[in-house]
Amino acid sequence: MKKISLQPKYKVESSSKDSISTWLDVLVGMLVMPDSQRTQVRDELEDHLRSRVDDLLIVGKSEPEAIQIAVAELGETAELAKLITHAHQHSNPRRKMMNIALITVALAGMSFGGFSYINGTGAPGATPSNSGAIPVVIRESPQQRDMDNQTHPFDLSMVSMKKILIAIGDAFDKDIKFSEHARTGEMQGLLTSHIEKFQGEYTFDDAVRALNASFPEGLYGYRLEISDNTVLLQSDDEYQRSLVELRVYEIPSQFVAPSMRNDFARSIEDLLRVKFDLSYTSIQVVSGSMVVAATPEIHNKITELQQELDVVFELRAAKNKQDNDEYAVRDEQRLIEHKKKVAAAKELQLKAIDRIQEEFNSVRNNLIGTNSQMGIESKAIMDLSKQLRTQGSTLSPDEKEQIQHEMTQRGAKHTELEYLHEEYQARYIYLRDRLIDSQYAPLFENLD
Amino acid sequence: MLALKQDHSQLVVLSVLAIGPSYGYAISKDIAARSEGHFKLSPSGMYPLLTKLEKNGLITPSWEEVKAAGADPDSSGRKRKWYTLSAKGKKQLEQSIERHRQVQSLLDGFVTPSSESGLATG
Repeated sequence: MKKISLQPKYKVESSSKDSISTWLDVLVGMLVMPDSQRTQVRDELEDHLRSRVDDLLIVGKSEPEAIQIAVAELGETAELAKLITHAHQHSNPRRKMMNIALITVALAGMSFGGFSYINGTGAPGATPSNSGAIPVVIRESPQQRDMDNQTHPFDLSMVSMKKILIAIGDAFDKDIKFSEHARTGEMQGLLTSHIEKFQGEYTFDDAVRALNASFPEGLYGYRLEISDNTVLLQSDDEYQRSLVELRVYEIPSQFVAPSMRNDFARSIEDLLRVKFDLSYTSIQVVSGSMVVAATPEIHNKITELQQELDVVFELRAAKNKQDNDEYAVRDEQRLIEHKKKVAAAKELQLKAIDRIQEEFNSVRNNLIGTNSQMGIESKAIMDLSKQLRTQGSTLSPDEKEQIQHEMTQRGAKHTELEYLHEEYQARYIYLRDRLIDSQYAPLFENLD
Repeated sequence: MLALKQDHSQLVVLSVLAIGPSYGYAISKDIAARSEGHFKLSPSGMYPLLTKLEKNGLITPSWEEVKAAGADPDSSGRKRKWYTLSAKGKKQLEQSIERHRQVQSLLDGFVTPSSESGLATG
């Protein structure tokens, strides 16, 4: 959609410009944020004020009156500064970019497979969620502890945060140090903020607590790092960055392809985002490993996640192995069953061949038998026929009839034997062919 | 005039930006005009809210240089921060509208004729 530029109809005079600018200077001085953001807030509020003044001029207000109304509508200056600061501190995408830059710088010097630290000034054991009145304390010497436990009187009026801090340092013999952000003006709003009074008999811890009650860390975006002899004032941003460590994690070997490795890293990031603010975290895949810039709290969670994933992967691998073993056993059983079936079939086949052979032998004997009987019958008929031809004149009619009757009977028997012989012969050929088949069958099987 | 609560403010600001890109002062005027002066979102409520919406990716900012009428064409004008509803913001707005309708429908169930008759007899 095209923007419609609403141009102010009236040009605000230089005097009003100055008074608006003065108010903006006061407001911006109270903002606790980097200069670049401060400029943007200033530009935006200036546009608001001048637009409002233009409108009020149109409806007939005088210029000073219009400015007064416009500024009054913005509310109490300090309150507005607090609210804007608070809104900016809740999330800062720039920080992520810083971490990516840190990785790039640090990669050259890091050792893969182990841990490498950058900005190693982070306090051991301290975590970003540590929200007590004294956020970061590193104390070792018992003498110093005794000194810190003595009480000192404080009686300061209309005093800035910076002066209170210096007074605490003087009372408990500590050097007050200011970080780069504090020195270069990024925390000017905090350092110049005043409170009405800072009074009481305080031990060191109580004095810091009282300071924190007047200038809450969360609201002003700063951190105090306390050791035996020094108190370092730094911005929350610097503190968080000081905690950031670079570690290299091996991606499980199951994730082979680069896209799978990237997906693995993004999944870890998404899981972490559910519970943690990842403003100071960057997760990248470099040379197949997962490189993470993050606070120890996040690193601990990643390690925990990785251990849980390892257990899952091991369980899965064990299950796969078990499944494979079961398949192997099942395959072996199937093979044994198959071999048994083949052997049984072979045995049946051999028995069948034996039976065919047996029957073949029997049929062959029958053929020989019928052949021999047919020969006997033929010879007998020929003998009877010869007897009739040679002795016909000497034989009585009864004898002739008896010989003819016998010839007829033997002829019938011969015919019967011929039928039987033919049957045996057909059976003989069939069985012979089956035997030939069975003998050549193994040969064909081998050829196949 | 009614001061807007946080949840309503977000719904109202996103709804204004659903019509088209706008900037802080124009948004506050639009809200007053569309509610016929009944709703007011103070600058101390609106600018932190816009920051929050921007940080959460619901709206995206862009800058424009604005010059007063009659100003020297060579001089630099003031900067205006425009906000545009992002795809994420549009989705969030749709969800908020849906929730709003559900709540409204449930509330309607409590102010049915039976309560009206109760009021009438009382």
